[in-house]
Amino acid sequence: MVGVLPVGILFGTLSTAADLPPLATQALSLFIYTGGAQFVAINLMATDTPAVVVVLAMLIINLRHMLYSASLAPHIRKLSTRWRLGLGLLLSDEAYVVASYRYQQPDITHAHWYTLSSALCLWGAWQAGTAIGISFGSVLPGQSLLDFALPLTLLTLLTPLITNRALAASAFSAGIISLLARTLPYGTGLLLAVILGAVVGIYAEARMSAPDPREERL
Amino acid sequence: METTSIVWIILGGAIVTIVARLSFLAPIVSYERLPPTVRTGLRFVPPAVLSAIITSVLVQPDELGQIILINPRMIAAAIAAIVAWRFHNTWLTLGVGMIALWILTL
Repeated sequence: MVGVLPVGILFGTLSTAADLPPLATQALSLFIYTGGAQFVAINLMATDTPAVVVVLAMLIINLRHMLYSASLAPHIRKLSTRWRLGLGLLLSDEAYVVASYRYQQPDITHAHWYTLSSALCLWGAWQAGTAIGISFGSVLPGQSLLDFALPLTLLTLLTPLITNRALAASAFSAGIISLLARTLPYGTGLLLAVILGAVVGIYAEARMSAPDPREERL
Repeated sequence: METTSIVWIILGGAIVTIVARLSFLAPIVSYERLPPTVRTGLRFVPPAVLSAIITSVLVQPDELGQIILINPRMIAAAIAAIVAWRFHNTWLTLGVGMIALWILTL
């Protein structure tokens, strides 16, 4: 929970420094409310990527919320629709961690109140952080160093996802293909990079799990 | 970026995130029913997207048409990537990356 406020400030600062209007910056935090997708969006908007491609990228980055949603579903099944809608809309990485921990405790009476109040605190911290960052972003000059912080935020999102060699090979190829195909129109280069990256991943994983022929000979 | 594009991005982004968050109410696609290859492939998509975006953002703003792979931003990003991978710390990564770029462009 400690991390949400400063990251919110960082988002507000970088978004404003990248010349996105303050209102749009706050609207991203209000309506999208997920750091990953918001950082992806401002990176792509800074390079004038078509809106469809930006939304598609946000969709992919947010697919993990489906997993959270599915994993919390059994715990909140008995609650009223209003409760489930409320908890669902406030779902975030941090709220999921808090909730799944709380629902593992032996006594889960009022666990949904606990989840709701912590989710609301997280939401408030994210909104406040964004607002503070907006005022910083408009004071600081939009220098090249601040622009460079944008892709760096994506690097910090990427590295925790690389947990084996197949994932590394896949991400590395996607990065290279994206560079080679960057002149293709309407963001199709990005799409091509992602598809070929996934193919490389599937191939790499198949090779990794296949028995080593040298061992068979021994 | 035009105001209309920004509005579309916020609207579209809001819709896709709300659908993902509330997906437990009505599962759209059953993950278990997808063919194994597609399931394996899907796991590679998020890191591939991030990586593809990072390289395209790193190279685009400065160069006119030509790709210059070995540029200060690329080198600084490579250093920051090692720090990010090794320490999993957002602030350390930002700090090291920005200092590296600052030194490289002195």
